[in-house]
Amino acid sequence: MKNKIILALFGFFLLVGTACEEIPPEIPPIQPPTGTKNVIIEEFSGVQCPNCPVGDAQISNLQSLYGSDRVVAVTMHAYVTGVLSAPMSDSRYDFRTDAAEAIIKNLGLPSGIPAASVNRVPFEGETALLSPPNQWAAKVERQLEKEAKVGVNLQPEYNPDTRMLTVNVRVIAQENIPGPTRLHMGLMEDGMIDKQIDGVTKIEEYEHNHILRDYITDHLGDNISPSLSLGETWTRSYTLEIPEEDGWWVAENISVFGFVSQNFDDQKDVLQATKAKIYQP
Amino acid sequence: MGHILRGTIGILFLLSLGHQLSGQGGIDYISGSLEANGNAFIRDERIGAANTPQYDHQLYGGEAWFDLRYTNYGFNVGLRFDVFNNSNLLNPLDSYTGEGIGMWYINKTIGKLDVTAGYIYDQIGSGMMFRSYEVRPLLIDNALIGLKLEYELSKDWRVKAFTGRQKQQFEVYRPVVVGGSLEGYFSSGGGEGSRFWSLSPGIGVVNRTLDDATVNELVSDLRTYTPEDSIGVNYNTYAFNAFNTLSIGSITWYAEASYKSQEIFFDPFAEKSNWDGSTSLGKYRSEDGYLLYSSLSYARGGLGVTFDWRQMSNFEFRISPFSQQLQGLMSFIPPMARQNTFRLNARYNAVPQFLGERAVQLDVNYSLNRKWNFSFNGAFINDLTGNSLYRELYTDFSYKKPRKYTLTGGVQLQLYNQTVYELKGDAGSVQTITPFLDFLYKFSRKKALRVETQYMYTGSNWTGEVKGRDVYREFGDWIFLQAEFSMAPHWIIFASDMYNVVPEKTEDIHYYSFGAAYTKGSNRFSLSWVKQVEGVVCTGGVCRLEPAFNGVRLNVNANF
Repeated sequence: MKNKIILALFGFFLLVGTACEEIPPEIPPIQPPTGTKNVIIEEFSGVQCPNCPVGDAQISNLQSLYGSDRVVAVTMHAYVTGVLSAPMSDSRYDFRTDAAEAIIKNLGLPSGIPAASVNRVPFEGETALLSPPNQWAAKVERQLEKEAKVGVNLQPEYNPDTRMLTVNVRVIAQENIPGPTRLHMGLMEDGMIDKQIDGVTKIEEYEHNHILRDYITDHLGDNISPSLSLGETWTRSYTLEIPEEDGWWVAENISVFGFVSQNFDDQKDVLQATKAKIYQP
Repeated sequence: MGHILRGTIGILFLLSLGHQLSGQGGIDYISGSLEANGNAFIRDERIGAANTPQYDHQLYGGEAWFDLRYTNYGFNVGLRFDVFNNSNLLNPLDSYTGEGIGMWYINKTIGKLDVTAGYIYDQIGSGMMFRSYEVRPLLIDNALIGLKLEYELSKDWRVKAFTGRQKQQFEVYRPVVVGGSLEGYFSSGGGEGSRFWSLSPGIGVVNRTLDDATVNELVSDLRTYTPEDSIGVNYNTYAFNAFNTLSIGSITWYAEASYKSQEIFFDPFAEKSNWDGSTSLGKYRSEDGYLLYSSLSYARGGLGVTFDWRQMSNFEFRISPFSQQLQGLMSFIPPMARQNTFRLNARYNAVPQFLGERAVQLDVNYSLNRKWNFSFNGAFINDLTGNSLYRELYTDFSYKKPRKYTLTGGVQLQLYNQTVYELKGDAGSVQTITPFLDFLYKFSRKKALRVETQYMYTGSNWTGEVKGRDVYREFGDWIFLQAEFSMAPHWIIFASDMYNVVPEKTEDIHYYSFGAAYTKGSNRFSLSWVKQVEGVVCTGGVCRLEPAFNGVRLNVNANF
């Protein structure tokens, strides 16, 4: 009996002791992306969400490493995330929008925020489009390695006197796109100072950046075409009035963002994304 | 398609095995159970029961588990069909739909070797280092899909080894788990004139190997870290534990020590440096961890005393560093506080803090005679830097007049650090004083009425921790009243109301519920209207934040 126990113990330690050494993976430094495809990070956040500044910081890091023209980010506050995204009693602004509500429900509700989609693509073998910040970098890296299937060009023309904004959009197919495509376009604003919960503290003057203000197209995008052929061009102009400046809606802080998605077989993949400032005085 | 194929194969196997073995004259035995829940969601924006797919447009949702177990010729075979339709169990904010074979296994004992293939539910020691288990109300199902071998070295010593991948609803996580344990038993034999003692020692080990895809995702994220936060990744993590139960007469002492080798995990409170020079909270860390636990208990006559102590640091053990909340847990670490049953006493729960916690708990129960019983419980939980996380002082008495009535009463004092437990940055620590009363009156052998009531006062500063500012009261004061009339053996009718009598956050709202349960034989049906406030719900020692609920619930349970 004693021998059996000793043998079992020996087997245990042999199993564990001989297999403890491993060759760890290399962590190479960031290289400039090789592809032409940009990414759009559609982030869902909240002013009473203690972890949400982590999402902002991750976006800032990714934009620092790859460039804010390659990594386009828009932060949205939805009603469905309840008290996490509701303004505090002393907040200046309510960042929640109907567009955010429609989009988060279209992408699939996450178990918590911050959560974001990166080009509306899940990881291989997974179905969820929205993921927490620690998964964004891998998705961004993979997407930036790809070639863009379409080109998207946004030309904003803003009149500061009338506050009228016209956005001329041009989409060019860079290969044959067999399924239907949609254009998604909206306005976002930087530099809004307001309250934010960060961990266990409340920051009185937190700078809220790339906050979705409104959608220009339908919340779920406008139809472009049932299919696109290589070289085919699609253009459209959108005109709207920017609301009066009231602490927010500051024209020089507003950018228009746009992306084209491919919609068939339950896919929502973004093909290309871009952004442009509406006004530079 | 994978789960459908698995299910078909499983069913065919179960049926054909049963048919063949029965045909050979073996003694076969089939048992099983059904658990089914149905919810009708009725929107109520005042309490926050709104804006999820169920309240917006799905309106109905539910889940069911149908379990079959078959035994013959030394084979044990099990199969479970799971259904989730617009269910809010997996993610209370979203809807989950799926169906298929949620579990199957084949078990056979060959001599002294016990073999189980399929879905394995098991644990090592108390389970605080490794446990694969199921908690249906929170949709935790951490079964390992793999193989387990258990060998009987002697009457008192067993060794086991297992390997597999962890279940994720109808799919599997990619990382691989392998582990084993050696457990034994010694005793004095308790001969005449000698005091009986026994020892139940054991050791265990678990290894989790991350897959390439998970490691590549981690590497992609870590590449974005600044040099000062840069860390490496390991494929393998090992956890070891040693445990023992010593029993001498009326005293039982359980002790367990667990160590987890260096691994990468996400710490939401760690300060991270960003490339633009700013800092933010939350980053991956790569460190080892430990858990120490001891429980000393004494039981003699009408007195039972248990003293528990636990300390842990960096002991978040999950199948993947990307798993969150209740998903991917590899261990079972219960709260070190009393599991309360009364509604208001159970409102605030001490969710274990895997990254750092030090806790003690004393539980005393004394039965003076057949009529009087007294109990006391005290729980003190701090983080590793000494900050208060949870305090609970609880005492109750019960007086029983045989065949007539039972009266239970007492008071509970709590401090609950909501900032940490629910990561609510603008919250604070709630301090409550909650007296309660429960009265059961038997009209006859079959008819009885039970009435319970509690009042939760949140305006106190009984710990003295709040200085120079207002106390934090969260929702404010509550009162709860429930009446339950039972007509054995079939009917129970109940109604309750939880009322925000001194509201802080919302208008004063009545959270009322009423319903009935009917039992016949081994079938039980329950139908109720429920309006439920948001809060942390703990089931079987596991907790999560649940949103408010408003609607109708139907439950069906059956065993055969």
